[in-house]
Amino acid sequence: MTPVEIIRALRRVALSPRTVLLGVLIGFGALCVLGRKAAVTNVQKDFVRITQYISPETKYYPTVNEWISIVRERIKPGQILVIVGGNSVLRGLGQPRDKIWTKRLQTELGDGYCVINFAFNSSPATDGGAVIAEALYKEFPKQIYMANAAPTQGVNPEGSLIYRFMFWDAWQKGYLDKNAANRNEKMAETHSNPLYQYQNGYVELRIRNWLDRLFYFQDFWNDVTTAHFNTVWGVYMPGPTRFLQPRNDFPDPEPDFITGVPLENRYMPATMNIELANVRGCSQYAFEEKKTPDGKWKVYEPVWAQFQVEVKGSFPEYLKKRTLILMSHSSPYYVNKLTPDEIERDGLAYTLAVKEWEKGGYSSLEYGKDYHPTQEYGDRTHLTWKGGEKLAVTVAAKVRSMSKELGYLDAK
Amino acid sequence: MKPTEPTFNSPIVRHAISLVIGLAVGVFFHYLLFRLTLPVQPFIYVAF
Repeated sequence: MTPVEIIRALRRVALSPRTVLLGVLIGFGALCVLGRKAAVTNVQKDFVRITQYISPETKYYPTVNEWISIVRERIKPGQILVIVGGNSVLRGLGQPRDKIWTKRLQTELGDGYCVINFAFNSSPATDGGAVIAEALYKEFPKQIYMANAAPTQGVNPEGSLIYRFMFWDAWQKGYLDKNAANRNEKMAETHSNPLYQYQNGYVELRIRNWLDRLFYFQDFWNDVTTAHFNTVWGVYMPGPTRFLQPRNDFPDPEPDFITGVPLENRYMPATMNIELANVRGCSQYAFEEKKTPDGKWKVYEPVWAQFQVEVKGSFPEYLKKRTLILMSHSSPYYVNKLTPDEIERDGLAYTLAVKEWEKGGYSSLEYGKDYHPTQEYGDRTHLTWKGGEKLAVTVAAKVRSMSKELGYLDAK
Repeated sequence: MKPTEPTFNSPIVRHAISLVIGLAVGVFFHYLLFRLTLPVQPFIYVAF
């Protein structure tokens, strides 16, 4: 019997509609059940950080359950949970996997702490890592969450447009505090803007979250795509055919700034003016346009008033004290090319931003001002692994002091 | 003698084929939910 004959015969079979429907229900239902199982299974056994293969850069949208599974598998009883969020700077861009700064941070802090790096590229402080930390707050109340920011950079409690899918995933699944009055107030204000409601796929996102809470398709197919075979092509995937391989097959592609990227590519003469504009942008809106007659930079009040409004509603009140905001200086390579007045303004902006975050109820510290421009900075804003080691030492001291203040170190 | 074409007239076979087709449709529908609801917004990397 040839395949053609089998197909012909199958075409003549009078299918039973009821059995087909039963099959649909069993098939669909089985995957929903498996999705729930996938939601509590960690498939990323060697997780060190978010790579492009498990992020929206390649159309991979992790779920809150996936990341929670990573934490639960990693943390040991009695450890203080340290979750790192923020952007590519804290993700360790330009630092190879075995020399990433959070590994050094873990070494510095020792066995009493469990450090997990959930930073995303281009992510503000309230994205992914912040969501997971809050989702696990009741389970692991001894926790510190950290992210980085630039001066005057406020944050939306729901996260950025690219990464807010995680906030709403956690919200829909009941992981986040829906009674945090300060955050609800800020969210209501954001949502009163009809543009926000109907742009950038917000409605579709909420429908997706609602459906996913019922059917767990995201957890199931993420599991398949990570561990078995990938079904979603993304622009940064390696090659037109290799994208079918499970995402776990692809190694962390992060190069080493020091040995893998030539200096002229890290500090490109062609982008000098753009980068200098970026550096100036970190401080120029924090102060009045010109110095006062007595030669001082005067704070530009409207910007900081708005900043306080934003940070007030970014996190629930009770999570602010355990939140550390790192103010990442620009590389001295560029800062030292500014005028003396601009250099002064740049330094003041970071110090002021730290005070403003503290005024808002958070912990904060600045770093990088005294780092080596090419050995410890990889480019304008990212650190080499050597800079990362230095950062880890500074942050470890701060984490220890925060743990003490928060009573995490008190004997039971 | 011309070989006879196979037939699947037995009720058990008929129901088995119906069930397998149904299962495949169910799995496909689950996958469709996953794919159709993926955000389409492109990722633009911005360092700041």
